[in-house]
Amino acid sequence: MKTRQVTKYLFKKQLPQIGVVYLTLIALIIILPFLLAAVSGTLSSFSIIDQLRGGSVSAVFGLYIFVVSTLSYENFKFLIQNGISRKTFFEAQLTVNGLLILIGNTFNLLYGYLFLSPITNNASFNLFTRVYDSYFSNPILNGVLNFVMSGLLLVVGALLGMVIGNFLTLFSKVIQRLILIIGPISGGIVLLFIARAMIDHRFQMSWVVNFAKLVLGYQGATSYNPFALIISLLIFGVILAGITRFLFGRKQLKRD
Amino acid sequence: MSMLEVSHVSKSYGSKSVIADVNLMFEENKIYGLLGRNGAGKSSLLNIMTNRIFASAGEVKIDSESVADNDSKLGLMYLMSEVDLYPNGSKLSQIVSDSELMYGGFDHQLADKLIEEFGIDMTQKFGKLSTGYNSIFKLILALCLPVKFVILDEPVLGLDANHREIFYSELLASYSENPRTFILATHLIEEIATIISDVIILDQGRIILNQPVEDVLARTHSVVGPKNDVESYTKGLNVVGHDNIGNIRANYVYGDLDDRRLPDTVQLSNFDLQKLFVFLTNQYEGGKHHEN
Repeated sequence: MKTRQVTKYLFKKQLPQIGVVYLTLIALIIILPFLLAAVSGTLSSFSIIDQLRGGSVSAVFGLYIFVVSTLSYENFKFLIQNGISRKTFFEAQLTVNGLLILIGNTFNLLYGYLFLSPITNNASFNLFTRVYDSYFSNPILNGVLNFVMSGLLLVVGALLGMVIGNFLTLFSKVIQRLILIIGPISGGIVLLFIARAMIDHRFQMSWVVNFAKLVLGYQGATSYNPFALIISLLIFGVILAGITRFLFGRKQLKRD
Repeated sequence: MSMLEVSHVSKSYGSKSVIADVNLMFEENKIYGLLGRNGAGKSSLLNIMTNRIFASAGEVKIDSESVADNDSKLGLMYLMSEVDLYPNGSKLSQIVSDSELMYGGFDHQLADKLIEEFGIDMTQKFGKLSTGYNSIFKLILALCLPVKFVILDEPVLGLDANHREIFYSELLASYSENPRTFILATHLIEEIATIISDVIILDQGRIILNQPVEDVLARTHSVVGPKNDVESYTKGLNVVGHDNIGNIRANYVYGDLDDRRLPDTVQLSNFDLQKLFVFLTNQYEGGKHHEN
């Protein structure tokens, strides 16, 4: 097994991208609005705090890890050229994604707790702090649970990206494009249908809502149990990891 | 002693069969020529052997162990192919160090010599290489990585005559310095005929010849003389091709001659591998095989 070598190769390649993501985020949240305010003559009403409050570092990192996880074919080509098995690639990619999530999640929470919350006077900066923070009153325990939940959300996002990306690599470019066009349209129609049904109250008491409540740990209008979501994310993550392993095993060089 | 074994391998794309029940055994420290016309299935076979694509049936093993999803066996092979699997944006020196990381070694001394001989700039990006230098770079990797099976698919693609000369001479030097198995897949038979020890001819996905070159050439017979005498002498023999020059007829026989008497008017000699290849790949449609 050459998991260590492949992990080193992939990590070295992907780590600098995190820096690029955060620099881009700073440019989009602070520099660009500042320049627009300067050009439009509204600099007097420009507030860095308002800009920071509006930008979600966790969401951007989540988007990054999702997108980067969908892209695996280029690495597969290089690794299979160098006699690396699909199993080793899968294990190394999982390890690297885990390391990237560890780094990103740590940064996101440190940024949230030590920088964003104090300067915006608002303790809510991610899903946990908005919804689950009141379940325990111990701030250290909340911090640990926040780290676990945020990390698991990123893990599931990454695995979802790996499933989608690896599923697409099984097809030719033409079929991939068709899936990328038809998939979102079908998904949109389904979502519209569900939304309409919910508005009509036909869906309100259905199993979907009950299931969502169970997954989210809903215990009343203001009370949510974080362990319900953590366990749900763990189960979902294991299922996705299984699907990803299967799809990695089906990877092969394409003829196009 | 390492053996690479291809056992009952078949491959189909939809209803089209590109490899049909191929069985091969590559022994250690030999230089094989895998010959076939365009579309014969050479690249598909090599891709299956290195687990880049899946066979529809059959198995590839090294030392009786399947290569499928097996790092220790896949790491014994290097396939240099026409398809580019390296990142276009990477510098050549970076690709070398990444490949060294994966294979656990690299002959830098030989690489430096080859880099100088071929005059390749290792600071270039892979995607910017011309076809010739693209092949040269991959050949350098193939010769310098510590593998037991060096598989070269169309190795001299885009190389000029001088660079081809350098390559063939360096291949032989590298082989004598560090004997290992080479598999050269090409349709440029004349150029490799003097290098290879064994020849495998693949036609329409089937192996139609698999023998040591020496044995193959010993069984090639060009029978030249007056048409009637030649026809009479070669009657019942395996005539794979013929030429006519006026009244003179040349019949090309592949196989052993029996002890029939050679007429004084008829001359007998051997013919080359290229001619045999052309005759066999024109003649056979999977009917007659010359395998060991």
